[in-house]
Amino acid sequence: MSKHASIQSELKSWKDLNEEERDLKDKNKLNLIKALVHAADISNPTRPFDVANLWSHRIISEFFQ
Amino acid sequence: MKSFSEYFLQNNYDAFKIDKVTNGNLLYFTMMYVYYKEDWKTNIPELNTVKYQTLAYKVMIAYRKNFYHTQTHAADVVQNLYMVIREKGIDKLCDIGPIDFFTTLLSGAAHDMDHPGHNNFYEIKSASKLAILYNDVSVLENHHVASLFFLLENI
Repeated sequence: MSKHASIQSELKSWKDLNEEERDLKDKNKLNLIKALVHAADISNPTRPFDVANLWSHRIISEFFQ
Repeated sequence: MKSFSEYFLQNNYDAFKIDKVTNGNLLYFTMMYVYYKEDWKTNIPELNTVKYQTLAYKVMIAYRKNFYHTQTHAADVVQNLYMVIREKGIDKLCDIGPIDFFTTLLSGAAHDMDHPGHNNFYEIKSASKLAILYNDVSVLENHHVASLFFLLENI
């Protein structure tokens, strides 16, 4: 979670890359997978409301235990 | 009634429901399901079935009984990664082979291992053992990955 900003800025920097640097290989592929794992970690709000609601109640309970 | 393999690829996947069905062993179940679904036995010959099974079980029991950061959350992340990569076409976009897929899902499964239920800020301010061990730098993240490598070394 503490790497959220750095992952975000890495993805944003892709728009300035040249055509030949945009291949999803080696470093870019690794960064994409990093972003995917992080996105999956915080994916709860993208679920339908009844599922997302269960998750959000749980995280609030953990914050205020 | 849909089959489980269809349900597993959907965004309305309810991890709590499946967790109840599997008697609270959802992460182990998910890891073994993916193992047979992706046929890693033949696609990754270096991977020993019993060792993989042991690793999946040990990763699962390394999760504490928090409200949120439980093995159910890890299994939910694994399902989401599987769905995004297989169903939404990331595997065609950048050629994700069996080993890439295995490491991605394993990192998803282990990403919150042994989470104490507090955030980094709390750990640092309370000067907990973990914060002292990792010198206040990304305390929990370092601990999760160190726990995984400890298991991998002693498998």
